[in-house]
Amino acid sequence: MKKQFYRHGDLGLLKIDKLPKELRLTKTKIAMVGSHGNNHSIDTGKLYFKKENDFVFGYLVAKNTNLLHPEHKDKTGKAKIPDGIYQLIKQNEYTPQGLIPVVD
Amino acid sequence: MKYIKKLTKKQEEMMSKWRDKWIKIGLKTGKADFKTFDKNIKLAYKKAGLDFPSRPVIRVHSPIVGALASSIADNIINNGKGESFSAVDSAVRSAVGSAVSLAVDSAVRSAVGSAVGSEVVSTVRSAVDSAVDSAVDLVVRSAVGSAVSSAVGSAVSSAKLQWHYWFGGQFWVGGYYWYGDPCLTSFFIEVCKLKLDKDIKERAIIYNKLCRSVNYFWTNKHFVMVCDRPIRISRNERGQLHSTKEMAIEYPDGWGLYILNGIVFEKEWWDKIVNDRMSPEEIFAINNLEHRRIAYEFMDKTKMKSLKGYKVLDEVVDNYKNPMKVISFKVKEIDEPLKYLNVVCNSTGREYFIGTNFDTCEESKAQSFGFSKDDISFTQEW
Repeated sequence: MKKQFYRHGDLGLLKIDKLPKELRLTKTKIAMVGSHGNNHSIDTGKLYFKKENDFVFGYLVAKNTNLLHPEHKDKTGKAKIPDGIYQLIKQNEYTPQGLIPVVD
Repeated sequence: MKYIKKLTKKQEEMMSKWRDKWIKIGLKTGKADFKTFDKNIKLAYKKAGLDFPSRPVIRVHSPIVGALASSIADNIINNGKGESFSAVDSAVRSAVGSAVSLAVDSAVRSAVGSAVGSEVVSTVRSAVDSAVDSAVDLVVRSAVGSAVSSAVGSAVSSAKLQWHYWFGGQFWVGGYYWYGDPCLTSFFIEVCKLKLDKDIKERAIIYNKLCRSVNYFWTNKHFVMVCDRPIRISRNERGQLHSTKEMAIEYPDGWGLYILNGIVFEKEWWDKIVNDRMSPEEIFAINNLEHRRIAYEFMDKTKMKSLKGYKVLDEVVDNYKNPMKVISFKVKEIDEPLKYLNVVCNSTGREYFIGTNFDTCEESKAQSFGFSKDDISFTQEW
């Protein structure tokens, strides 16, 4: 069975069942920093940062959470995700030199 | 204390006018009102219970000069006095900035917030917040001020200088984190006739005048620096900084930014892009996805045919009825063809090319997030 995956621009959110152990809660509401001042943020919810590999960089516990980004809401309005636990994933692209994070 | 429980129809009608009025103030160009600033920054120090620096207010003509000069000056003052003084002075400097902020805007904000009335604060305040405050903030600080602060911030950190905190002046009229927002407080005071304590009202007026009189400013125990307004702010129909003819934002000393549809470029690149002097190979070699996207937007698309071995490997329609393709072509000195997933963002309508090592759209998209197409289902996308 395929897992539920949400995409907010170059930020991916994979729905998972439980949080890994020994995570530290952060105070920030910025999930992923973008260049040009365009950050991916949340209005409510809990963020934990932990780099697991080239893609996974943290976790989100969402409760009435809207994803916010200055450039990704013109047509869709607020990006509300279902309550639950998510793995935060950065989009990468392939180059002749190897895999690199998408820089925007 | 007179509480505001509900907005009248007239007050509701005033929200759009108030928004437009403050957007105009936030995007104002031309000469700054230094006289008003000089008078009110002294009042701000007084409200903070601090001695005003003995030096006259230093005027600069671009935020880059102000940010570098304030950081360098702060650095020299600290380094010249030894480590122990440095630590103390740094604490004092920070304290000055915080004290001025607290004295003139934070106090105002909390006073206005509590005066609106606790049981209806979310209703009234959020209505005014979204219709006035957030709208002004989006147009002024997010679309214009953030490009300047990002460029200046990079320059200061490249110079390995300690950041000297600043006030955004006109770019912060719609607020910035916990800093007070003149457009919101003035709406409650002037339109809703909110009664505040004399001292709080005076602070609100001081911060209002500081923000609307100048661009950025820096407060310190030893000096105050203030920046003139931009001479030009050019925007596209979406309100993003944009100009194909000149700097989209420029200050009196000639410093500014070349920007296309909200994306900042070095002058050399900006010039090549607006004059369509980049080959597709050069465009696809750009590391920054947004730069690549803008360069492609400006490119004459018939140039794509010039790419050696150009092929469309897969072509589908995505869940939002947008076309999605995988293209490939050859470039000099690289044996394997380059492949790109060509997608259209469903929320912005923008077209992107993302490097891939796969031949199909679905696999390329899933793999860009570290999965196989059989692992995940894109439930919703923005």
